[in-house]
Amino acid sequence: MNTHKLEKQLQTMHYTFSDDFDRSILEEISTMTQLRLPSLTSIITGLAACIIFCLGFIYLQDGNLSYDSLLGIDMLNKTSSTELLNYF
Amino acid sequence: MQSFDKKTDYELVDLTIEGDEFAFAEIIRRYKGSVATTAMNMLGDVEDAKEVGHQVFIRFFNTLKKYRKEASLNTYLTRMTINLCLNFLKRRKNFQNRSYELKNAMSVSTENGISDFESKDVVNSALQKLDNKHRTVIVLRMIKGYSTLETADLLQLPKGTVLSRLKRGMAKLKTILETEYNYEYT
Repeated sequence: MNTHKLEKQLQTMHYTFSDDFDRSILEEISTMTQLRLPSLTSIITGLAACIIFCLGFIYLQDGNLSYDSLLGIDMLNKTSSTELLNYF
Repeated sequence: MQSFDKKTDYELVDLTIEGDEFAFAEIIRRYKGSVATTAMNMLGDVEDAKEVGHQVFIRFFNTLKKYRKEASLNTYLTRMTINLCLNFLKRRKNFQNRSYELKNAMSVSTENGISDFESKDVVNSALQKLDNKHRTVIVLRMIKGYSTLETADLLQLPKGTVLSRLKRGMAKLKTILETEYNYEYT
């Protein structure tokens, strides 16, 4: 079977997309990335708000902010060893 | 805007991952022809080919970090295009019944001899009458110019299967063109 002519014809079967094609993809990509960014910023904002709220809560409860108050062992410092011994 | 002409494909991929949209625009510019050729010959319809081509580049953008740079970008995108075309064809059960504006192309080809443009349309129409498996091999091997081994690797088929599908596919295509479109291949 001689397919030489057909083979030559098949080699010419090339196509391309117009410039609109590039533009539509780039537009979709920029929309996608814009949609992703607010979700990331809202997560960061949410986290920051949570931390500020916690710090404010601790300050209102203990009247100061220290490592001990953050860890919840602020009262332990004020307890003397004799008081602790009385527990037992 | 910096010039991307001399950048390699891998450099463009890295720049896109870093957030450079112009680098991705260059990737599209370089490979839209290759994607269009595969999609158009697999699907036979401009709008369908555009839709699949669009999906190819969007999917590639979303999975850029998974691209391991083992295969060339062209081969990687061709594999993606073939897979998406086959999925597209599965979804469209009525695909094989489409005529793809054959009548006009046929009447011109039989009366006055065939210009390149018309001949392209007719051959594309004939291609669409083949089974997916035969068409895929012909598109990769004969149109895209991959070697038999590369085609086998792309389709994850044994080399012998590619050769037999190619031989059978070419014979069928020739018969379709001769009997249905009055082409002469002597």
